[in-house]
Amino acid sequence: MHPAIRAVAHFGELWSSSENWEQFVWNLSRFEFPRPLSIYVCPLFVVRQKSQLPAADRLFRNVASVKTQKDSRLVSMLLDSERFPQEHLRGSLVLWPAVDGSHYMLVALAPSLVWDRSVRIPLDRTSTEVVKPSLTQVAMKQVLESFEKNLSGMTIRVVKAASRRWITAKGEPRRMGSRIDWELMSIDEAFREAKEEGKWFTNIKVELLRTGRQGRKFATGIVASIHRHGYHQANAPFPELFSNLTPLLLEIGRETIRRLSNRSRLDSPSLAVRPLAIEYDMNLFKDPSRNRDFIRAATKIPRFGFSILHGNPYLHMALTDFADGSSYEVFVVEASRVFLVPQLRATPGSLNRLLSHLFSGFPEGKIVDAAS
Amino acid sequence: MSSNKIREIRESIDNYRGTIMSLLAFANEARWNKKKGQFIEGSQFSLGRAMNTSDQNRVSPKERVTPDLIVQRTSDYGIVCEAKTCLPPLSDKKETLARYEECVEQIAKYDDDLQGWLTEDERIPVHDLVLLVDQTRGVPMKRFVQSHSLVATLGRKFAVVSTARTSQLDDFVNLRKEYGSLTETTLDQSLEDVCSVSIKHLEGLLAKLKFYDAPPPTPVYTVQILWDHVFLTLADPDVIDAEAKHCEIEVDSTRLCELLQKLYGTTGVDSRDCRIPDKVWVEEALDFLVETGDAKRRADGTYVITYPLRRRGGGDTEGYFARKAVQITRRKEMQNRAERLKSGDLFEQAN
Repeated sequence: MHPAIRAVAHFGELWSSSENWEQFVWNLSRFEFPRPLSIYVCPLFVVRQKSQLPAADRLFRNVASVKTQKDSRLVSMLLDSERFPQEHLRGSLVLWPAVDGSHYMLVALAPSLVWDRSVRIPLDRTSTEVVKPSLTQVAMKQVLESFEKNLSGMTIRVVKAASRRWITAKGEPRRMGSRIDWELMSIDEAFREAKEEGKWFTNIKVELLRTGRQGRKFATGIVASIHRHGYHQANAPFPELFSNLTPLLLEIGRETIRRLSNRSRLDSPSLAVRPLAIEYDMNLFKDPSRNRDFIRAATKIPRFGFSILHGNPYLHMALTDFADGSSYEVFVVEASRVFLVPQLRATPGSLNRLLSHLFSGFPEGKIVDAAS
Repeated sequence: MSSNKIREIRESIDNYRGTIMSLLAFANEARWNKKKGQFIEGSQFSLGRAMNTSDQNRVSPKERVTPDLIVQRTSDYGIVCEAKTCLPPLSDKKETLARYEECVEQIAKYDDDLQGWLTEDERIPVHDLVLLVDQTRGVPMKRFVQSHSLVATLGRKFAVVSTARTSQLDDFVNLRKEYGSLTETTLDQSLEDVCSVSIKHLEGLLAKLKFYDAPPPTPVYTVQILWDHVFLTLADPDVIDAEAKHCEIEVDSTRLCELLQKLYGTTGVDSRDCRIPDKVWVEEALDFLVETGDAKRRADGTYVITYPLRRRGGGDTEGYFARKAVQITRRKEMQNRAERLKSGDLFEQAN
């Protein structure tokens, strides 16, 4: 049997033998697994169906088998990539409910290919039923800095970073593109350079370094990463992943939920609007062609309908989420701000989906409460 | 040809939205205290409020009239505003002159001790009259009213204010006084100097006020609102959850109208406030959907909407229904022509 399959099977058993989350984490921290497996973690907030977990096949792809425990809230799944049926391309996933019922902790052991195809992409693309933490660039930097600060005797450096930015080629319309950089730099350097180059990170991989007696730094071989949607990963088990990084992202997730909840007009007895604004620290819309770029990003969101009510000089759009009936009005009348007005129905899941997709095709801004 | 017609429909819709924006911009400016940088305490405005004229009224004595906007700056001073933002260019044509004449008559209707203000006795000591027109019609309207006998005999101060949307770093509605004067000198001076109201102050209102006293120019306007913001919220959530290709939604025009009034119009807080939109406008929109094949009318008067859970025509909802409206008009014209051909009308006309 391939050692990776043995590890996946063992991981599948680990959850059932753990009495509680703390014990599960303790067991995981000491759990050995071979390459190409990684451990992935992400808090998930179920925002529909009265906090009941949606059916697994609606959230994930390539689910080979599902096991549930106790009151069927604790779920374990075997993931199997159909497209690449090599024996070792398998993974296992556990959804562990929080004691207070506020969220689930998704923990997976899988190769990156299986994780991406079976978990991350399906969750990012379609689901309005669960909300993941949403990290701005500032939050991403703060999480990494805080993570480093709480590591005993260790530091971190960026080894790989996936980012998005505008690509302008002569004679072609401006479009958004992805870039992956493999450069060794500190967190500060990485974010400073990103700001100068006008790019924003979607995923950052860091290497853990141990500081020796004479101040020399040695690579530990442990590589961890955080994604702007709250997924965090490590190529080897280490206690700080769960004790340090996970709580930070859980708190950001709680903040995301707080910010996106109760936005629909149905939530107010007087059907009042509770708008949000996306603020930029530069006059992005000074160039009128940015309206076109924004329209392009908004109209590419899967399962969203739209009406362009006014395109130039100011922008006024209506957006409808066919996935759950949420709808929005969008105004761009200022050079540095997008005004987003949730309408009769606007679920946190839909809002999160809208903003995540917008920020894939248009520069990321700061989401704030806006006065109506 | 058909793209021109589609553009015409979309332009008429844009004008309707522009009128609402201009009315709100004027209401903002008329209630603004520049010195304090805030709205005048106790100032109010109302769109489509029913007012009573006196028996002295020269145009409509003892009648109920509904100006597009009333602004109550203080309990002693108000403004009655009528918006006419879709006037044709001034010419000697009979129909054009009639449209301009109608504007003046409407203003003259409000030159009266109107009852229905938002005060205790529903009266106000002083009120002015404002005619709000598009920037391109500001000067022609000024020429028209300057030589008009009815305007010369108005007992209240009257001003023609033109409105235009402009873009600098941010976007604005510009208000400019073209003719006349107002009692309130600071407001008068501000309009004389051209005041710019930033659209950012109106966004919240624009997202929840989509109808005013006048009916929308085309059912496509109401259909876009219903399609983008209302229908899916009335659907069974389980049907949407199942990722079905379409869902069926039962609607009743009365209840739908009440919902639209609460969401995007006015509900009539007191007996003088109009209920906007009118039920007829909603029925027109639903009947239009029957014609496009997106709805069925039942014998009991209710409608069943078939809502595909995907983009109509692969793109913009308003554009799709504007295209449908052109196709329906053309189909009706063809049918008419065929019927007239059958009955021999066309031959008789040719002879």
